Amino acid sequence: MSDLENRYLPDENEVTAKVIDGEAIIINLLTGVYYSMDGTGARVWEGIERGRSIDEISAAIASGYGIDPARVQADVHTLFRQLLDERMIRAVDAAAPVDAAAPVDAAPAAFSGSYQPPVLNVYRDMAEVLALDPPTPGVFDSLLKDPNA
Amino acid sequence: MTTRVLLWSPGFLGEIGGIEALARPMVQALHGNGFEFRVMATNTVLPEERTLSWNGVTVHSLPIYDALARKDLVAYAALRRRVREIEQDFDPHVVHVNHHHPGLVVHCDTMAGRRAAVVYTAHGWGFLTSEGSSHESIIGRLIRGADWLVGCAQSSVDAVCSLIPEMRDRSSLIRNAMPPPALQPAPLPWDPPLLLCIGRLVEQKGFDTAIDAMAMVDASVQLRIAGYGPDAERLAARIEQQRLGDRVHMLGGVAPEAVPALMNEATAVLMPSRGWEGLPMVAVEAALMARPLVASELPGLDEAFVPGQTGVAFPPGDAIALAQAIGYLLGRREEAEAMGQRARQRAMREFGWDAYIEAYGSLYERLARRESRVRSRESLSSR
Repeated sequence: MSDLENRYLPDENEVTAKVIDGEAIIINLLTGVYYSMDGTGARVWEGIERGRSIDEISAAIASGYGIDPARVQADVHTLFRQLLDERMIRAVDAAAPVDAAAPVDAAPAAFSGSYQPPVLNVYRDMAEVLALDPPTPGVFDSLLKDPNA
Repeated sequence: MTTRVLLWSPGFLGEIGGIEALARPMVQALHGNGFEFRVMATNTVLPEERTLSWNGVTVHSLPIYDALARKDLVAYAALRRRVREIEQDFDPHVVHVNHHHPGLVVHCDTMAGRRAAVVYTAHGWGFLTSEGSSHESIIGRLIRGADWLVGCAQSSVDAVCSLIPEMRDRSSLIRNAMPPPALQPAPLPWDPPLLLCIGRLVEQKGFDTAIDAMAMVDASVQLRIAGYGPDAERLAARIEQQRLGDRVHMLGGVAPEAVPALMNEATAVLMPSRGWEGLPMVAVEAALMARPLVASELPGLDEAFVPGQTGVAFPPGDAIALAQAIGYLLGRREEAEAMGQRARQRAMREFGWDAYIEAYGSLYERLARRESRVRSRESLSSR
């Protein structure tokens, strides 16, 4: 089996993730590193959540944009390497059942806009910045009662 | 044209700290000069999003810090959506990011398609490690995404530009300033001598060094520590451990408007910071109240006072040296009083409020004009 046919899932021991409003937001639970992806990246993450292979995800995205699958496949493959390096996804047994109802495999409606390669935004300093300056409880209450004070 | 400015100021309503103490009068002054503001306050303890009116300025209280700290991605996504709505509705000419904070990940995530010019003000330099200034950091991305960098001190400008050299030709210095307090400085009290530490109770401020020094100075000397923060219990334990309960007093938080009167009761103000400082407002305020400063030798702080002229410097974290510096100052009453007077004269000259407001107003207008030209060109080309 080629690399492109391998299946992966989000590594839930490492990350928590949501795709909301077409954007994927992912936090590494152990390191606090924060990630985001919009557009194509978010579609790839949805595919991963459904246990789809690189090949399947690329084909669905290429179909949605009406472009050459080979072009998408190279970009998606690069993104998968990044996700593996960041330990955000883990390989699963190819024989494991996948979500057959997943819409990413069905011929999708045409995506709006032009195709943009997926970009993984990484914020490695999130935990550090959170630790720097936590909100100070107790002060807001008095100002809220009388904001002009 | 009214210039619309969206200001990211994490603790605008909720916190008592130098950056907030400066942001509030700045917004008030520029609002009075005809600028239209929206404020995004993200370090709030309120659990849900609220919109408040503060002196005619709309302030959005957005608990982004809380959502990120709890890793509540649904709450975070809802807040991010709200930020986009606010930006679309307000359509700012300028987005001003005042200091770094976790909520700015929203600003970074929503950069694509933003039409406003972005100003970032660096209040300090210690957070800028080579890793922290990389493309894979909130701080690195937001500084690189800014159209203009302002440093509150020369050390801040230099530190950012040394790590992110492309900012060199789009940066400037606007030193922190403060409106002169209405209260006139009182003579320094000597019976007994009273020292004052004021600031957030965090390790970086080095108030534990001041407590340790108190065990080594004359027993008549008193110390007050004013402020909130996570270090409160540790400092209280240190006071007890050093058996200084009758000489060192923790006052808790003090409202900004009460600070001048508190400083008037002090013989000297201590700033034993061991970490980075921007251009600390406590030092500026102490100078305006004609108090001599005893402070750590640190970049930023060294722009706020002149050792030997307006105060005494000592190596950060060195309690023995701090005790010696306190002893030096308190043993030279006339010199201490002269230092206080020189500090006030220097502060009125170097940290003038009108010049500060003028500098930010001019910067906003210059960037807004540029932004308007871009919008006009876009509008023409789309016809």
